[in-house]
Amino acid sequence: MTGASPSKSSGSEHASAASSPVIAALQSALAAEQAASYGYGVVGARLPQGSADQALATADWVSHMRARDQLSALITARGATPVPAAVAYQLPGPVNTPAAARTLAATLEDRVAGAYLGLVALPDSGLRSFGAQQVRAAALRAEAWRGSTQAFPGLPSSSLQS
Amino acid sequence: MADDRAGPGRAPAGPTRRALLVVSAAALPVLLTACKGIQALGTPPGPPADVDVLRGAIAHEAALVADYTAALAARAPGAGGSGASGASGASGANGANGANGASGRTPAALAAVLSDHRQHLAQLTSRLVEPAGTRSPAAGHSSAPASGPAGHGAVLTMAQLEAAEQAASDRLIAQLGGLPPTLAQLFASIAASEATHVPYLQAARRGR
Repeated sequence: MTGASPSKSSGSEHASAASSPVIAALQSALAAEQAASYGYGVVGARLPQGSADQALATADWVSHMRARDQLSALITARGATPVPAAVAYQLPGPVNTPAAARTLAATLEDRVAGAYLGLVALPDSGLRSFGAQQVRAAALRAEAWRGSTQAFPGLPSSSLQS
Repeated sequence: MADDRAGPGRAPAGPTRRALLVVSAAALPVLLTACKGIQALGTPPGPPADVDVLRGAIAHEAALVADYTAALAARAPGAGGSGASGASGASGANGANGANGASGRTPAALAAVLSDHRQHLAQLTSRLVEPAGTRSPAAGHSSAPASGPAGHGAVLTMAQLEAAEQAASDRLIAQLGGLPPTLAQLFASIAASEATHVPYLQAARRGR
């Protein structure tokens, strides 16, 4: 799971690394983690102070921050530059109640799971395993917020055969 | 006219082409016998490794479907739990019953998880393309492996079902290497779903 050292890469190597499927998948996962990190700030603010749900939101937020840092390191190790987080993100809907906050948290996890499936599609066995572990972690967090399971976490319905 | 097969500068005279053909034809039965029949010469190559992995996943998923179907039937009104305790010693078929007991939410949770597994099985089966005449492992339950300690066909306790879910999730993730990308994604997604069944069943067991 390591790549060329950035200090030894030429400019053209950087350019090819940045456009590779591996880097594209890592950047997509990073973008999802950055969005989740932002979103959990909103989730936590809408949950009752000191509640178990708020503690859960804090724990999940920390998980996403760690995953973000891990992805940034993987991208940098491959000679590319991690795309910085946006200043703000468009939320899927208004988040004015604890119930809406829980729904947002589950939605964030669904999107994170989908992004990590991009890593699972790569031939690199290490990244594939890492991606699968992260899909599972996101699905578990989504289950905790939603209180129900999904048959195919992260997979768009269009990819399922009827 | 001189025989052009024996002229100077040519290869030494050996058996004629006709003689070689005759000898080859005579030796054919001997060769076939040595090879234990002509069928041995035509053995087709085995299926690719990912086909075997897919067949195994289908068999395990079919076993989970059978396990949940049995668990639900044992908890159906009027079942009385006798089927569960009689088949496998599982004592939590109806009502709360110690660590492996069930709450009132258990049947609904089992039905929800069974629905997930049926969808998993359908998607996995749809990815398997087999030549005509070969048997799918999902076609018959006899080839499905046991998914829990109590074995296939027995009524598992809630704790055994949870353990089977975790094992199934871990197994799918361990098999990702070498699979085509879209199949790997399906395996990873199903593995994630099966992992979520563990806390979901635990919560139902506790009456969450």
